[in-house]
Amino acid sequence: MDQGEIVFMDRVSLRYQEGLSVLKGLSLRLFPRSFHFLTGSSGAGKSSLLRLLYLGLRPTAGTLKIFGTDVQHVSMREASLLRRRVGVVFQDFNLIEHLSVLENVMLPLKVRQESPAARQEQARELLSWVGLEEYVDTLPQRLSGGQRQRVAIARAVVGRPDLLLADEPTGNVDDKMARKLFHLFDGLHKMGTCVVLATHSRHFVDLFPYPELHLENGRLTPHLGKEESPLEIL
Amino acid sequence: MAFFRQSPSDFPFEKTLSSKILPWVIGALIYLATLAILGCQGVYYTMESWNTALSRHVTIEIPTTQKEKEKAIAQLPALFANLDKISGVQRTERIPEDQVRMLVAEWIKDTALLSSLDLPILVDVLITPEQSVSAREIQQAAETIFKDVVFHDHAEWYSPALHCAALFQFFSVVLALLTSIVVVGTIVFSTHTHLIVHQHIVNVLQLIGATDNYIARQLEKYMMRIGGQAVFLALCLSAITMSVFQPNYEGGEEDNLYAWIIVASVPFFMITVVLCVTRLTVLWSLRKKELNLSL
Repeated sequence: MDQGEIVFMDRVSLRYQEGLSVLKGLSLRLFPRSFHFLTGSSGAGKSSLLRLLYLGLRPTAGTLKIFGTDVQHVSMREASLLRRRVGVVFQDFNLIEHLSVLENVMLPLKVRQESPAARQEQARELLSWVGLEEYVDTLPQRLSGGQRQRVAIARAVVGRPDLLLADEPTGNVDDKMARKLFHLFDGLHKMGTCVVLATHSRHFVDLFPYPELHLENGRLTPHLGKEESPLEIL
Repeated sequence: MAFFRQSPSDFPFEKTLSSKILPWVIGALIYLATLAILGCQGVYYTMESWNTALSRHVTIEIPTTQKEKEKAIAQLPALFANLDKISGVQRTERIPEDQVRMLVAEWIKDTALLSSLDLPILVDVLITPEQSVSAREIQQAAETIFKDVVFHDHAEWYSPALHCAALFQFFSVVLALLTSIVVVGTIVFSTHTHLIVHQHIVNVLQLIGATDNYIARQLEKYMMRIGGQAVFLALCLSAITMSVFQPNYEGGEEDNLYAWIIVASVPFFMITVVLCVTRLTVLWSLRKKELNLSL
């Protein structure tokens, strides 16, 4: 395994307790400063793959290493520490509704026990970057879908993650906002974060010059028409 | 003031009904447990004081009239000599007449009637510690001098009272234990329910890297507040109860001090219980979840 490799998967399979096999023998490697679209039809296993990558599940077979650590053997505490290096954005935002926008964004820093002043400064900076500096004290339920998604992105990146995973982040926003969000992700990638973005939007996949991971029936398949990438499908 | 400003909890506990009801429920249970412990302690010290005062004493009652009193008093040295011969008798002495009159005055309030009564002569016999003396032997020794003596062995009524007190103490301890178990059960149930109700927030926190300890601390803070309110309530009720009942309580100052120490130690004990039970419940519940984040 290369030093600095973010994700290493070797013949990884995932089967749910109900017996449903969702991922079958996936092998891939992801490197820093890379951007990948994760595509595939509904039920192809995109969300399950992302779930493996944010240590929401352990693979049922194969080897999965995140930041060089084999997740099969990590303790709960180690998993928590690894997750601090992963930012996740969901289609349905997963914001904490009783906390203000600022408190939501500060949460990853609070978990890391950073000082209140440092939390405030970094969170405000991020909210300014996503254009929500006027909404710091607003509760998420008072925001539009696009604004909520930007809060979720700010929360995902405030801890400066090495890996950013986004599961259909533009599913609940209009085209104009979707374009803005894609540019946000692009900006993050350019700042050094490895981004994996699951989407159904063919338009945006074609718009950006980044490689595509295509899942079909739980297997990764090479997708024609995209240039070679830092991604290696083994 | 920024020092005192707390960051908001990651969980919306304040909005739940349990945060309003739980302090009252737990407070009432703590109050009940405190009362049981205080009752147990009170009975213990009462029995101790009775034990000290009565357990080694027997009383010989010599009925007499005003006319015969002088003669009976003259025979007392012979009685004392007889009693002193019995192995195990440490000391014999006449109970002063004033003291006898005071004892009777408890039942007869009419002073004129009291002064006209023929009071018996009472002789207190003190038994040597850890020696047993046959009541029959003492009675026989007394009957060689006086014909109609009445012999009072306090053990006859003291033993059933002691048995009753022991039973009361046992039930008090059982009640305190049961109440404590219910308090612990309430904390476990409440903590577990919060984790289930707020599972989404638990998942979000775990997703952003919160350790189980971090989540446990969040619930600890909440349960501490509930526990603090409950303890305050229980303390107030206990203090009121003690203020009402303590003036009638026969225990000495030292016993009263112990009672107050018991009441004062309740907050520390309960806060420790709340912290430990909440933490263990959270860690146990999260460990069962393993890596399963269902977002």
